[in-house]
Amino acid sequence: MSLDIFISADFWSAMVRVSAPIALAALACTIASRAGLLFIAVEGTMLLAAFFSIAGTAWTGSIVLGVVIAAVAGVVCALVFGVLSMTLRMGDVVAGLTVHVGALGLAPFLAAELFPNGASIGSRSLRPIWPSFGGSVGDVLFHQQPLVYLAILVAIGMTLFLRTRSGLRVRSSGESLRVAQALGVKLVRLRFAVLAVSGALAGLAGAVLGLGAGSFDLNVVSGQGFIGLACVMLGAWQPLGVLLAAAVFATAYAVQFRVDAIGGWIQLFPYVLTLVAMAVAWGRVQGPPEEGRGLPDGAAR
Amino acid sequence: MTAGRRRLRRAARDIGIQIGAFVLSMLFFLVLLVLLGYDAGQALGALWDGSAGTTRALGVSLSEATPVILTGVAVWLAAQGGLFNIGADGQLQIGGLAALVCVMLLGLPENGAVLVPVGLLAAALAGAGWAAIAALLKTYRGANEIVSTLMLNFIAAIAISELIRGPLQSETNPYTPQTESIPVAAQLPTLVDGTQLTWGIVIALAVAAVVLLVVTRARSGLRLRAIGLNREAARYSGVSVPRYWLVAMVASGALCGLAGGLVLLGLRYYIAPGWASAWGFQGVLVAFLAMRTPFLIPVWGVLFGMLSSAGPVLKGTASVPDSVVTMMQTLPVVVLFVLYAAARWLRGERLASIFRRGEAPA
Repeated sequence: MSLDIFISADFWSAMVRVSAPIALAALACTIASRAGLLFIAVEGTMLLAAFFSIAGTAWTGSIVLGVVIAAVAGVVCALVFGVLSMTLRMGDVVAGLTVHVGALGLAPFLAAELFPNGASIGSRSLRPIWPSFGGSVGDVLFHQQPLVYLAILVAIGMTLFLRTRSGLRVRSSGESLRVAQALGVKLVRLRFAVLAVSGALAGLAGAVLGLGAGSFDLNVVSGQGFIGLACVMLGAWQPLGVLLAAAVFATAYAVQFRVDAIGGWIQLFPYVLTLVAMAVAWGRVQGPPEEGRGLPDGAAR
Repeated sequence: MTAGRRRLRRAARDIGIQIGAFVLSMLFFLVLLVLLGYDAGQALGALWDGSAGTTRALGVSLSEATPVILTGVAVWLAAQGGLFNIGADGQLQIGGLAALVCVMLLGLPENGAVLVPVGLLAAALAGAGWAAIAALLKTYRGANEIVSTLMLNFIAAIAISELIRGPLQSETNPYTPQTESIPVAAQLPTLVDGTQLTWGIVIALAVAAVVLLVVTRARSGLRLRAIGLNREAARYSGVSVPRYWLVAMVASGALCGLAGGLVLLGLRYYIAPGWASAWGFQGVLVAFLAMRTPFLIPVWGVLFGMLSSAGPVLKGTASVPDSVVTMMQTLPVVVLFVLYAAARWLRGERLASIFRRGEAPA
């Protein structure tokens, strides 16, 4: 393979574009992980949100409203996950798989019922809302669609938030239930609140994919939500690290689109890198101990 | 009341709740179909015809159930030690791949007595090896096995999808990504004439029975369960937690790998995109449905097999789309956990304090 692609601005521009949904999904999983939840439902949430972004845009004629509707759908989906996992005590794994499979059925079902002729947003798309800076290198950084910048802002905001008083309460829910209890944290309520944020972020990630594709297709998410989960590990549970991890996965995607000779094998690289990172215990971080372990019997409301 | 009778009563209650969950979820499904405007009678007929109405359909149901029984037992086994093996899908696929490679590329004599055992053994070993990666990461690095097994699922799926487009691409069928079919000699013998049911179901049931007996009766199995119930207590009583985790995870992977081998030698015969249906995740659902009554895992496996088998018939004769059948798979799980929650509520178990019974959170 030739290395020229790495000096082409197009390539890096594509990388940034591809990284946006992965980063948003990964940040959704990050905040959930820090609160002790393993957000396996992220993939299904994104699929439903992708459908609702297209449906919302088709109904309202506005791409902004489409994005908002997708985010709301994401919140609803994440809260359903919370009800299954916490209220019905399925635990994160079973609840996550249930939501995932449910969404795999519900999204194409709704698409077929509500849009018998196929859901499409026509010629609208997520575009940069300001003109090009001319220079192609400048465009890589400054001429992307708005949700790319939102992902960066969310990562910075999340980093700061985790250092605030409320952020510490969220972290206590992931680090030690004993500490959470000592702080008087209402675990279930806090985790539902965190899930609402996660759902909104996953909804935005789904919107980027749905509006990027333009019409609904069952493969529109194709594992990118699960890649988000992997990014959390690779980024060592730090929002900015996770953002970087999303860029690594996005680079692998972008290379795959550009270099036919490598084919799909390059897709393996980020996953293997994640396992290696787990093996060498990147920064000696292994994640919040409560992650995905669910609530103890009779947890406080 | 003696402990034995109390245990019997608890088992009876659990079985009752599970039967209730299945019946209720089927009723919900029919109500849903009526609400959506499908003909419920026709759908019920299709459900029966497609799953158990004919010998042929029953054969398909049991063939589909074969891998689910094994993945279900595998996930349950790991869960007894407090481990979530959601890598059942990846281990199954790697098992199938190993079976395919061994029966086709090792140049073994074309004799079923050689090919079948070698293929199945290779499948189990490959599944075990695949799970061992997650097991080692867990025991030596404390890495979350939920995430590592999920990663390994993707690695297996991507690698196989590339292999069947590259080195393993069929020469007789060069334009579709798939492998050659395995030799007829390597195929599992048919169990019932006129159906696609092979001896695979017998192997799966026998292996499942042995695993269930060992885990619920043998000393090693009880130690594993002790770890799952309270890791610290088990550690202080002298049980080597890492060793048991390693063995449990590897055994779990071997079961999933065997499931893949049985599928390859008894149901699919070659690998093409989508060759491994939802068996891995169905195994996870089945394991959690029957977590407290593991001997019902084969029963749930058969029920899920019947749903898989009825899907195409529902679509064909009652024009119920795939998406509805997919959603239907989640119904038993949701209904069961709603029933459990209702039972807790009826017992007056309020969601009071975490530390009510003086239990320390893990």
